[in-house]
Amino acid sequence: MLTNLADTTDTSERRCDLLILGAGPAGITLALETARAAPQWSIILAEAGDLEPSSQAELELYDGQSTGTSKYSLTTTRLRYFGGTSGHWGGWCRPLDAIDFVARPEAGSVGWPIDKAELEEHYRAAHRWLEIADDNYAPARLEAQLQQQLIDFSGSRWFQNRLFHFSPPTRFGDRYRADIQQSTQIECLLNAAAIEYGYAGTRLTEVQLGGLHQQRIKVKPARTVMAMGGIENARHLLLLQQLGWSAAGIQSDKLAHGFADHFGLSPGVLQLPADLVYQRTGSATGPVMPIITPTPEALTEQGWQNACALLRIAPAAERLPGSYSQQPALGFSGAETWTYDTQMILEPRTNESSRLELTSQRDALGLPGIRLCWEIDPRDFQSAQDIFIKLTHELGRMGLGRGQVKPLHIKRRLQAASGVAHHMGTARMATNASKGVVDANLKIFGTENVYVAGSAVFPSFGYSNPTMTVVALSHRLAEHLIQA
Amino acid sequence: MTGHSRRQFVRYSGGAIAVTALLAGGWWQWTRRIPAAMTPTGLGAMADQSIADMDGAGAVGAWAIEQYPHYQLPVSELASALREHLQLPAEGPLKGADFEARLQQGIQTDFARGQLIPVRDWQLSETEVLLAVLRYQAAGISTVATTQAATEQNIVEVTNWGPRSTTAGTPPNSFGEGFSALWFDVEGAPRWAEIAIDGQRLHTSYRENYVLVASFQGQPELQKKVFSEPGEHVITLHDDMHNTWQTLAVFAVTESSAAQSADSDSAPASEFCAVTNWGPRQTTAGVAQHEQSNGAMGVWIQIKCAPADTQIQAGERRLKAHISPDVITTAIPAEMFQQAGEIPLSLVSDSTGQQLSVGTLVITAQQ
Ligand SMILES: Cc1cc2nc3c(=O)[nH]c(=O)nc-3n(C[C@H](O)[C@H](O)[C@H](O)COP(=O)(O)OP(=O)(O)OC[C@H]3O[C@@H](n4cnc5c(N)ncnc54)[C@H](O)[C@@H]3O)c2cc1C
Repeated sequence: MLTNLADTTDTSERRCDLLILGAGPAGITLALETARAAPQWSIILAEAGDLEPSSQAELELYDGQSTGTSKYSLTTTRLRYFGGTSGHWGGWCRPLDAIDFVARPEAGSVGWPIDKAELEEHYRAAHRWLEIADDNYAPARLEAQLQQQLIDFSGSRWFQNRLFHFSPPTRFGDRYRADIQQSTQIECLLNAAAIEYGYAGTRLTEVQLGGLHQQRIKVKPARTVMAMGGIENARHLLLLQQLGWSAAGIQSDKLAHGFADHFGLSPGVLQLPADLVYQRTGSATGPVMPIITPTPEALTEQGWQNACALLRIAPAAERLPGSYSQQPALGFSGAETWTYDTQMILEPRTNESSRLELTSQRDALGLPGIRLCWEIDPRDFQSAQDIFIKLTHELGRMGLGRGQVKPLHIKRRLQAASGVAHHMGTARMATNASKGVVDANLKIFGTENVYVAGSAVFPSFGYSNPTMTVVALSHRLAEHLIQA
Repeated sequence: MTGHSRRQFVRYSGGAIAVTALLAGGWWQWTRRIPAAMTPTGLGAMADQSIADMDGAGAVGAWAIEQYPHYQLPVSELASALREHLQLPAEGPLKGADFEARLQQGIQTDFARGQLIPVRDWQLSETEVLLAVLRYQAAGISTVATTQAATEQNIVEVTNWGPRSTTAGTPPNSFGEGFSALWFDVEGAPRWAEIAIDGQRLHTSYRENYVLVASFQGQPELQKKVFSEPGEHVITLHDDMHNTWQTLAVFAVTESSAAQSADSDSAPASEFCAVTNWGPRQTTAGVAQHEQSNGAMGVWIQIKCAPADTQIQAGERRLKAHISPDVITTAIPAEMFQQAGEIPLSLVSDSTGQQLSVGTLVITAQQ
């Protein structure tokens, strides 16, 4: 059922088994999965926005200050309406790699308190939610013609081919609206932003919902899941901290610290055999994007941060003279070579000084303003360049080509870095409150009934885009809530 | 340094400077030059032949010496160093095939061990740099960088394209996004190919089903310039990887309807006014300019007013005309221009028989 808080006549206090704040991919998946598995539960899904994209005034509620080495837009990187940021996401999908869950201090990765096996079943479900047919991320099953357009790394201990898949992209607001609307268990309140909280001891007791309109509604939930995105979740938890709630997770030093986003780097040019495809392309099972990544063994041995490389044909790049890279005497196959610009996506290190803070300003709903200080660790660039240099060595050894490494100019790269709207790490999952905000079941430490969904809970990040893991975690959380 | 090698140094460092200077400006590519007489390396005639054949290695050697002047050594010293590096016998001639096999192996081993030397930021193996310097010292540069004009070549077959014309002041296909775009149904376009109009590159994207789309996105000034005045604009396709280009089509901007209605006071026109321009005026036998999907050749005639029942008389044939406010187009069937000759063209009103001569399409013999 959909109710618009702005014009409903029924603003009576609600009670429910589950209150979900935010109807993006995390919130919608959780609401529908929980409803399916627990038909006796009443669920309120409170969404700040409407069914259509928000007005300028509503978007301004997201605005704030951005400091730090790299500037960050707080408004264009998230949407505020039913379906959340999936209203304009790109659909790039890939689970995290098993190694992304492992603590690797040398690579700045704090690791997850769960391993990938714990998520496998939920990743499978996430493929269904995201409408991706194929959940195989090694290219072995691609059609032969496409495989021929990839480098054969079978003899390499350093590198391997992997894939991205693509969601259509699923617009959660469109795709799952009818399901929410028809559900008798779920009441989705639109124009209903969380604006005030009440707590007692270890329990969150009530949440006040409202909007730029004048209507207000009070909800008294048995349990609450915050699914407002990686920035708003942290903002609301900081508000609870400011209000003085003593729950260990709320008071954790880690809350709102370690904010991360993915970013790209173009470390150099490769001169390699013609017609390689390390870009988005069609395949028999749908669109895919082959990538080159270091093997887990290489990551462990070298202490590199995880990363992947795409190749973009760059006809105007500097080439080696004449037919140099086609000379059999110099170890090449003799085939035509092209120049490719390498684009890497990096796993950022967890950087404690990259953080969100509340400001003394208040927005139109009375919530404290935010300041985002996005700080990239300069070692991120070094790690990516080290991987690229090793890749040039490996390609040379394999007689495939040569690489030209661009100077790093870290300061310039830091200033030019631009995030890709993956808001991660602000309420990280850990084994205890000294290390994070939520436990392995996504419950805030020291609380009895408050959970966090979304990429805020990622303690380490890999290079994969986050939404597939976000959806998998919501699927797992639904299971946990019902069993708990 | 011996007198001989000092002379060499002067000669070769001059060469290196020339290479650098050429590299500094414009589009460049590597072209092969016959090696100058080669100083024997002492590795034997067969190995020397292999070295002489290594296109591009001399230029890499020049780069390396430019960056690492201590590599500027006599040929004999470099050859001995290479022997040692590849664990070849210290003296005596080498077999060409053996030499090449050892080279390949040496390079592979360097890469596996990370024994590399960056030359102009290219990660090269110690062995190949040594070889490149030897090649340069012994035979100079057989490959030089030249700023070379791209060559015209058939890159793709255009099966259809559009829009083909517009009136002045009306940029076509504005899509409500404020920029125009042209599409070309082509086969075999490389993924990096770029389309240009009057030599200016356009934002080119490759859509599925072989459609190349060239848009004026981000180039409002160019868009204004192209579409504001009547005229013709040549559209070309560029393949920078192979330094080639091809003419795709000619886009016509005809006089605006505002100008037309100011000039002609009655509409629809009952008579012809003067033809202001037309084309193409010439082709080679068998070659359809502005080729249509059926192989016919598109011809356009700029005219501000013409009767609604205008047809085109092409030699003996009466052809259908497509009448827009400022331009009349027709398709000359392929069989009409297979042989050299001339086709007189005129506009004819079907009902009144009134006729206006346009000009003569000249078909030249194939070379
Ligand atoms: C341009 C762009 C491209 C992207 N491309 C990709 C991609 O290719 N692949 C990928 O994996 N990810 C991509 N992402 C990221 C992806 O959109 C997010 O990972 C995903 O939307 C996160 O889902 P979520 O439900 O956690 O948060 P969101 O989708 O942000 O949803 C949060 C919801 O909470 C609501 N809300 C906010 N405040 C309140 C409040 N106070 N009370 C109640 N509700 C509230 C919001 O209105 C919104 O509906 C992209 C993001 C952007 C901006």
